[in-house]
Amino acid sequence: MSHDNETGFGSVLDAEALEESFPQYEEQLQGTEVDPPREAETVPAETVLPDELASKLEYDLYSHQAEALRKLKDGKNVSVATSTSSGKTWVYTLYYALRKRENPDARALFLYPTKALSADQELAVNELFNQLGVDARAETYDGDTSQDRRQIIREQVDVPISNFAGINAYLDSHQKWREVFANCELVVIDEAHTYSGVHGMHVSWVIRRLRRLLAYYGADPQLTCTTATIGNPEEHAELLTGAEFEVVDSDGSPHGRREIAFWEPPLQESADELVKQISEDEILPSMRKSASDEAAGVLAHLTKNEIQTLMFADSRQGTEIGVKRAVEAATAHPDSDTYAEYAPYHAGLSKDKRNATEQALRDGEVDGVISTSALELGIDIGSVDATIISGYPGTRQSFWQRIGRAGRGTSDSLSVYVPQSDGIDQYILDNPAYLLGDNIEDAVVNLSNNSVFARHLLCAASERPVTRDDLEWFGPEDRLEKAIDMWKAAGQMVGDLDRGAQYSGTARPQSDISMYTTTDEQYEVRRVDGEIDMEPLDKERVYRQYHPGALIVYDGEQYEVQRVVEDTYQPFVELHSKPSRNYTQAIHDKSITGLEVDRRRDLGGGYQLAAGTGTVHLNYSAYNVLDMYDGTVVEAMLPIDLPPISFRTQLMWISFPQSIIDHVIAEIPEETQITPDSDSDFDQLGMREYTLAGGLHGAEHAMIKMSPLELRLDNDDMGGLSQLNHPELQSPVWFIHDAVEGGVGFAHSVYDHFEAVAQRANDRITQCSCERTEGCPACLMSSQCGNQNEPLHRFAASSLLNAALDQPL
Amino acid sequence: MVQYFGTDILYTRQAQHTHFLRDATPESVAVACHNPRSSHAEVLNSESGVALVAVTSPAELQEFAGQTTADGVTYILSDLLTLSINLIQLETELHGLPEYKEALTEAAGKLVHLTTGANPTYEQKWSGLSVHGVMPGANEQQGTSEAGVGHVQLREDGTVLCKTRSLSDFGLETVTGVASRRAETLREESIESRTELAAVDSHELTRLDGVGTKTARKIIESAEVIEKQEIRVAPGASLPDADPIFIDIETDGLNPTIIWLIGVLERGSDDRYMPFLETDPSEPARAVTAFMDWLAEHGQGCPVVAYNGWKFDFPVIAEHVAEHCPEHVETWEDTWKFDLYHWAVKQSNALLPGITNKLDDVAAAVGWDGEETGLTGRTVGRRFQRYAENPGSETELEWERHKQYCEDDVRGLAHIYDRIAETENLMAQAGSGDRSGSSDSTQGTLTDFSS
Repeated sequence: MSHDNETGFGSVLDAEALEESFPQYEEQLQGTEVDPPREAETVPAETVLPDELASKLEYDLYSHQAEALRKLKDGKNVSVATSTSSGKTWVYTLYYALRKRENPDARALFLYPTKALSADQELAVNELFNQLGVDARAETYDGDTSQDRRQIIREQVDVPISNFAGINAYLDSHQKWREVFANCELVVIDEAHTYSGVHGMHVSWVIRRLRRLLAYYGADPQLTCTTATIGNPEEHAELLTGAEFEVVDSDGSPHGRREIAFWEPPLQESADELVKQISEDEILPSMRKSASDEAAGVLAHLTKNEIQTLMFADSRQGTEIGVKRAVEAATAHPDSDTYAEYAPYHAGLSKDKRNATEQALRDGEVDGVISTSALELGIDIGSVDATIISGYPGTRQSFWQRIGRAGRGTSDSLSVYVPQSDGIDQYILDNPAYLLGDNIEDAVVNLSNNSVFARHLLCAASERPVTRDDLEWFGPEDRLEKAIDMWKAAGQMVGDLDRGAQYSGTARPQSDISMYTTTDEQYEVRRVDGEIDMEPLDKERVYRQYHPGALIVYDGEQYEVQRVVEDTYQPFVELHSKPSRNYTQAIHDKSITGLEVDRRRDLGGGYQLAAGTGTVHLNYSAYNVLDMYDGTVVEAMLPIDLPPISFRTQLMWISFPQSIIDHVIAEIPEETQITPDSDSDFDQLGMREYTLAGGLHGAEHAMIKMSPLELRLDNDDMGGLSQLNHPELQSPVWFIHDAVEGGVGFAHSVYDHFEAVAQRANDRITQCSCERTEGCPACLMSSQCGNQNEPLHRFAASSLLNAALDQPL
Repeated sequence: MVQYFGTDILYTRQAQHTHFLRDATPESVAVACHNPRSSHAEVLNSESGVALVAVTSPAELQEFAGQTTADGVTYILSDLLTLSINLIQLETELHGLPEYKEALTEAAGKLVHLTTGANPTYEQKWSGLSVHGVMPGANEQQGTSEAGVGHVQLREDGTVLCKTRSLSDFGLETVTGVASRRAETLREESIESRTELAAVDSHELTRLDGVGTKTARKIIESAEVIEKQEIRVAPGASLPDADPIFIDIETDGLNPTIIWLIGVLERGSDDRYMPFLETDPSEPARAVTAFMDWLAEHGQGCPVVAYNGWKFDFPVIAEHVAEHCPEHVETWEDTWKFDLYHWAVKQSNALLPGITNKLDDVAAAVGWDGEETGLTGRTVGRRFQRYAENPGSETELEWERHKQYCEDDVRGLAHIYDRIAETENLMAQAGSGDRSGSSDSTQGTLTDFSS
């Protein structure tokens, strides 16, 4: 299925050509962005490797591989932050080979985020050892490894491969690992960018406990991180490990010319009637056809033109439905001579089916594959000619990874991006240069959550007594002492920092660690009609998203929550499979009290930006069921029978002077002022106040919605609250807070990146094609809003954001 | 359960259970419950200088305090003190402490405060008050996460020994192959006790879901064994044929920094018992070195026998030998090590009676009349830690007593070993043996049959 690149893809996706060739073309093609080709920058292997090894390599090294090796040889810890398929595995495998040559007893630990990746890498690493003629072996050691094999790996295998959940447990019996630890010269942390948020916190502590024990056994291994491109690789690696790093991020790997076409779904047929009655400007993004349906049509068009294409969908059902639609569209396509073959791909298919599809892609036997993120990286499928990305995958890194699947070697590639109707997608449609920009999202890792710290400290104390020497890992001193005193009074520890503080409890503290939650109140998730492999959830999340009646999506499948059982020793959430076109939105009352400020910026004139902690009080009282496609309310105000919940967490806020109301009212068109309904909670507010409230609320929503453009997080990792007059601050304010007990660093990151996030929020609001006062799901409305998206005022929100940005920040 | 523990008082928080409990237990056992409507302290038991008193409010406590005298020790049981651990603020609090303390201003004599607001293993001093927890599952953060029964022994000297049993340590769930779900199923089939289960026919069990013939037979045999308190060995199974050296070690925790007591019983020299004891926490090398010196000279060719040795004793000794007397590393590596628990239970070479497979339960079931100390390895470890952290007469361990406990454990182990050696009862169901020692298969291969 090769394609003549000389004519380029232009002939297939040229606007005029499309008029002719694309069924019912409605000017979906909005434009193209081009990422120019890049040549490889290479360095002969001999410059960094001894001849013996260099001679075994077929190709020169990429410049970044050589630079990384040089820094490693200099004794540094290195973070390699280059794109996928840039040969990062080679860097650390070669470096280990070098160490092994000098010291036959040298061992290493290679740590990966998933078992699947571990298995893949085990093969790759051993193959490389073979090729280099190095007498070394790597083998996976994790929950699936048999007992007999475990002892052998510890005693004999040079490079045990594992993951952090495993390491957390193995540290309990670290004496068994004495040989590995004492001789460990290299620790590799692969795909480090995946360690952020709650999970990242846990991994950071496990790494510290590990390094502490390595030091106890007399080792001081070098650390190597590999990471996708993130905005802060050095800071991230240092926070994650506690060690100093040098970053290698000038990518020497090549790629061809990459064309990204922006394809906007046309209006739905059902909207046609409506559209005739409203002006062009009043078309809501949600009135358009669903992105996935549209993308399937594009897939059909490309494949009919002999372009082998890989399309990404966001759910397993999406892939199956997509294939059906593609077949339909292909049948309806004017070009009836070419026959195209399609297949779905996702983790729910059997291994055989998946292997068959992978092979078919490599051999060119299938023309179009629709896949979930399962095919985003790792698995070898050769390269396709084009990719279609239906809906923004959440991060730029993910987006580029998908695009990167297209293009053979350094030849040109085409990608088609079909946006969905929500905020981020619409932002990108309006600001396509964002995709190619240099400013990349920061990964957030934060160690200030005391609850997580305390539990890892307990583990550390059970591994070895904790002394002043451990301030390196568990400082600062006052927090450490406070935690030790707490555990002593609780009967879980004895001793002190001078003589050593030891764990004295009855159970293994390591088994109390759940790597994805912040408290030990973990709710198990159980499925009544089958299996589900989901990590336990925090209570806050259960109340917010997994309440009885909630409709949720997990790993591409849809479920309904049947019940939440709390009055047992192991609380759990029970759900069953339920495909549906609806989603649910919980309604809640929220208040924030007990504010403590960690940092603040007084912007003058009564404007204040602050980061700190507070107690969030929530009462989820009811929920609405809404239609995913048109946003209509299917069922309203179904009761939620859960008690109020409160938790202390990290947050940020911006407070305004009381006079801001005048400023805002003056700036907005007078006729747009809003009044509350007589039956609304706000009915006692006057027009001005209600309008200002709409502005605060809207700005809060917009900032939360747009923060994934700057930070690696999900919208539902944070919540917000806006108030005309907060009792403690005595001023108009909006808050953004972390959604879990103790906080994860997200809200504080928004504080640190306030200008950038506020700017993006303002851009989105002002550019939104809805142009409605109350906004739309693409700019102001949030599916997480507990107030049913009332009040919202787009112009007021923009006025507030501008006012904040105008202050000398 | 009551029989097992020799209980004097059965205490429940829920009044509605008292009738059932009274009916189900012998006369000698007093059943008491939490009574929120009481207005005076209730004396639950009082004998030989030890009294147990229940109070339900600070007012009752104050009234009672006025009546206390300086004789003996009084244990005060209430729910007035609750342990609360705040991980976000890094603070542990005992709720109710100020009012409780206030109520005690008139009190005299030795008082120990028991609370249902903390787990049975909890003991701490708060503002000079000795506080002990007694309620299993009171506080998840303290390591227990399921319901259970706490057995509390209140001693004359003011010490509290607490043993927690989970419900699965009694009744049907003691039987191998029967966990909570299956126990439920059995009860639905009117099989409600272990005795009944032992008497049942195997094809009655095979009617149940997930129970095949083999499993049914295994279950019934396990029930029989526990009921009859007899040991059965697998056909062909055998113990080492040299004189064993039985050992048990005491440390300062699960990842120990010191082995401070090694009890050794040498069968070959007429059951000579030797303790290797170190009372100075700053000398972690001495006991293990002395032991290894002895073993190197006298113990060659004999199996060193421990109970669950592979999980604890053996790796711990290995680590400490490497650290403190590395000259003996090879000796230890060459030593023949035998883990009786592993041989019997993991390798399915024997069926042991006893409501669990723990050493003291098995020993008791085969007639070993040992000391009921209520101490676990961990408790002892913690006591040693406390002593090490703060050496002094208050924290110092009673070395003689601990030497005796250790000797008792070692002799109990030897007793089980001997009973196994002499039993003639065979297992009807030879174990499928997850990691059977006999890996020499004599199965024919295809090539045997091809010509």
